[in-house]
Amino acid sequence: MKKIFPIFIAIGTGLTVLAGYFFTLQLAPVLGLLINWGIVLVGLAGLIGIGYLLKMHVTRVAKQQKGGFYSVIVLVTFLFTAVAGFILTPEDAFFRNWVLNIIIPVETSLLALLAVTLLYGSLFIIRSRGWTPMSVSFLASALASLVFSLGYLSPQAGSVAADWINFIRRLPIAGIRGILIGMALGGVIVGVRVLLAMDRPYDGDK
Amino acid sequence: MTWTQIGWTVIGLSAVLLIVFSILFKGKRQYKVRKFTSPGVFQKQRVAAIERGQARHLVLGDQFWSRSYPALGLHALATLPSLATSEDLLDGEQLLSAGAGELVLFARQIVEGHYQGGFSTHLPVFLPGPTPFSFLAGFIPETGLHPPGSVGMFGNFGLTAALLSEAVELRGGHVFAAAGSITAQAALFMKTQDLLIGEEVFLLPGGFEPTAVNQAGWVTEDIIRLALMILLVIAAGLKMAGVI
Amino acid sequence: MSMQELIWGVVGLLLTVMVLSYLIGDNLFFRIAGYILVGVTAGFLTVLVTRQILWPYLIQPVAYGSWLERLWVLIPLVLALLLVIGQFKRFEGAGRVPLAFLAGLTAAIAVGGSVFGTLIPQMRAVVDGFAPSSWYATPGRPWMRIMEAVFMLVGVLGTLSYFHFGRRRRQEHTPGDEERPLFLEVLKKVGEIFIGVTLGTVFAGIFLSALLAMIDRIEFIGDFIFRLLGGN
Repeated sequence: MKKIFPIFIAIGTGLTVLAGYFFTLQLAPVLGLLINWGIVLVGLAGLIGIGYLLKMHVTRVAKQQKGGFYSVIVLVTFLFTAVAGFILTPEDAFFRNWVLNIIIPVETSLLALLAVTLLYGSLFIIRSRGWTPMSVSFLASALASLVFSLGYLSPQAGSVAADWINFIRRLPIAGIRGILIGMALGGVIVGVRVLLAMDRPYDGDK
Repeated sequence: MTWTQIGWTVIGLSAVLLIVFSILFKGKRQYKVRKFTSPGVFQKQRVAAIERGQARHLVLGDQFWSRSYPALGLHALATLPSLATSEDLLDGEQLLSAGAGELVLFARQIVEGHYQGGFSTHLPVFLPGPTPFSFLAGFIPETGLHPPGSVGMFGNFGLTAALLSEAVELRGGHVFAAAGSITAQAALFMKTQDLLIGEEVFLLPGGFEPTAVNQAGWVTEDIIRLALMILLVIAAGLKMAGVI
Repeated sequence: MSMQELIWGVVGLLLTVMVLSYLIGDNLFFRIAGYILVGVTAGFLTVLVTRQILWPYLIQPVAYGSWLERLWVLIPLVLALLLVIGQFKRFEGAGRVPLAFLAGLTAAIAVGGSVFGTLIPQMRAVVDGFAPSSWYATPGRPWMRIMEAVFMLVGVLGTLSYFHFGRRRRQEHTPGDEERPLFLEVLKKVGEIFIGVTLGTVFAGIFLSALLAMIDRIEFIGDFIFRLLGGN
């Protein structure tokens, strides 16, 4: 019973939601309810996850483990943000400034680091991947896309050249469609396996 | 037949084929797949990391769910049991991380399921940061604190996957990526040699553990993919002829 | 420049320089900036989740709702309690039920979303390219549209062939171990090029976004220093 009840819950919930795609109107209220419950659980799971993050850092500080100094930073900034957020509310100007003036510079700078990583990596693509049709077409397409985005190649609309450039620019869509169809197919199999209780991530059994 | 009916047929057929082939492959029958080298290389690197006394890190994605790739979180979790076995967890150097609370809770439940004696207080599952960028910002310093010998990336990742992979490689670690999104794959393509592309990610978990269910997954995907390809050609012809 | 602008500007400048210092290697400053982001994001999410999800969906109906509303909230409340209790060693099994609910919900959304949100729309788009009416819908050269539709179909078929898992039926340990059935192997060669082209284009997009971020940061630093020195 201890094992069967969660399986019953997973299959029951899954099949009800899936049926909602078919009986859209009839099942709309039930679906709304299930999705709201899901949102509550996802939110709570997020908080518990943050709890584990804090627990790890508290342990590091308490046991004076490696990286304890950085853990203090995490704990102090967390406490300050959370307390300020609860007292001042997220709409408060100071709280918004505090959050945005930290998140935006750090995230944008991390993205900026990516430019260097990608540029450096692209210099070694043939060395790491060899001369395969995929690596050559990757490189050619990346270069062509960069050239197109510079905007120098913009012939008069309606001309043969414009049609060809449009055609070339749309070529990657074929690959994207193929990859997305493939990924969707894989997604169906993964989902159906859970709905058939072949995969049970909720009890650790295979 | 409408497109909606085709959709339901795909779902129904997947379920039927999965059940039938799971039963068929329980015996001696096997579905012969092509040789994919990267999962094997990853396993060897994990063994090498154990021998060197280095950490092995499994990263289950920086999100549980995304609109474009709704199944990737579940897929990462489906791969976990074949990699985080009780033997793997013995030396305490097997780390698991994820960028979403749901993933952390599921991963803990899966790992716990592998402990015969019950819940361990030292489950090596942690959350470096709760959003994709904070996950990256929390993960990179961790590679300095616990230099990983091997890192496996599974599930949902975005363009930050390239920085994550770079950080591991700078520490001399090996990266295996079955990161599902096109963005992550494009970002990882240049430097990460052991990379599964597109639908190849669904080779896992069978690539590590070819159980009957995993083999059934492969053959079901192959059959439906072929059917969809034939359907595309027929539908294109009918569209051109003005029938549909 | 007001005092407030100055303070936040200095914070932004310091954090930018600290993160960019990673270019010379992992260092103390990069780590500090990274961990500040972790702490602030965790705190911000805690506030948001509590105020925008747990309060209106769970706590408010229990505290202030009618009996009917309280009744409806009973199930998610029990699931939430089980999820929390399940994190304690003694009640390890309790978490299974809410996690099973989440797994079932996600699996169904994954199946429905994959089929009706991705698979069918993408297939329809490929097939719709073959409608004669679409070739003449806009002024231009219809033969280009026909060619595009054909390329689209061949590209999709090739890409899908690339992903075929099964191998050609042969004896064990022959070079054919890596080969798909013959007709798929031919199509796969086309697919390989299309996948390369796609990943290359996506890569260029990522690179441009990253480059824009780099330009933004450099511009921010330059602009802030200029204003600090008295420029307008």
